Amino acid sequence: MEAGIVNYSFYINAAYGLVTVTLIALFVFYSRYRGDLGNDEA
Amino acid sequence: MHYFANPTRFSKFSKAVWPYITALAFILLGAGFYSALMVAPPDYQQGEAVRIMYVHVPSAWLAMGIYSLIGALSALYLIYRHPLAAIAAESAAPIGACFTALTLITGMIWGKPMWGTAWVWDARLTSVLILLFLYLGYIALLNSFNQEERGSRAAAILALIGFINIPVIKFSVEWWNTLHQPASINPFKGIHIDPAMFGPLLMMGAGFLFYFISIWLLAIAGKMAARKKMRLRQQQLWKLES
Repeated sequence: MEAGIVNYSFYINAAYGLVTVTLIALFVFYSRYRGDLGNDEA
Repeated sequence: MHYFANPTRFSKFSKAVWPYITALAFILLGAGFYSALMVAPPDYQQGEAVRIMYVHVPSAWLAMGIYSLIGALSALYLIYRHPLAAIAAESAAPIGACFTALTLITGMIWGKPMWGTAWVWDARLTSVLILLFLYLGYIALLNSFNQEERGSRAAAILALIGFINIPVIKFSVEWWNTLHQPASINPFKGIHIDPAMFGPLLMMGAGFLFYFISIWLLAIAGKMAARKKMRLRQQQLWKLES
């Protein structure tokens, strides 16, 4: 790394990693209700 | 709007639109992630760290937008007593809480290299932390009654009282001296962000919005089914008793 140039990759990876994991986890969690979509009985 | 207030009609509508909304969400998110990480230029002051903006800002938009939605649905529920309004509001709350937490954590990750600190008790950060507590309080209150309807009413009142925090968050950077920068995108004052950065930000914003609608529809469907099951069980119990 050149002097004066800061490497921000740790922070970028942390932010994008966290967001990606959260989006996937929420989608997987709520996918359990896919069978309830359009259920007239509901 | 009245047309979709019928649960059966809403259920059919959500089943029909869900695949398209979900596909659109993932296409926009894929394109958004690519353009935010690969296409958007680094900032002249922040360098590559500005890329955190493309996940932090859409999360914040959703955090505030979902709470505003809960506030509006709570008002509808309290006025018209329509159960679908309560179900829609209650289904959105855990998702909103997750996006508020994401806003705070990605903000801390961004703040550490840019400000030299992950947290300061300035008006913007503190008011967003209060928003997270409001979400958690809303969810806790909702689940603290034996009778579901009483929980819904109490939570709806809390949601309306807590709505005062939304303009406080929005204008906190103008009313007080904050470490957090003022808004770069203001419908009244113009867009102070380069199109090369605004494009990917809008794409991510749209992706986050459609993603939220997709999982919100699933959450509503799940809650409607759970309520129906509970009502059927109660009816069976009454029949057995009588």
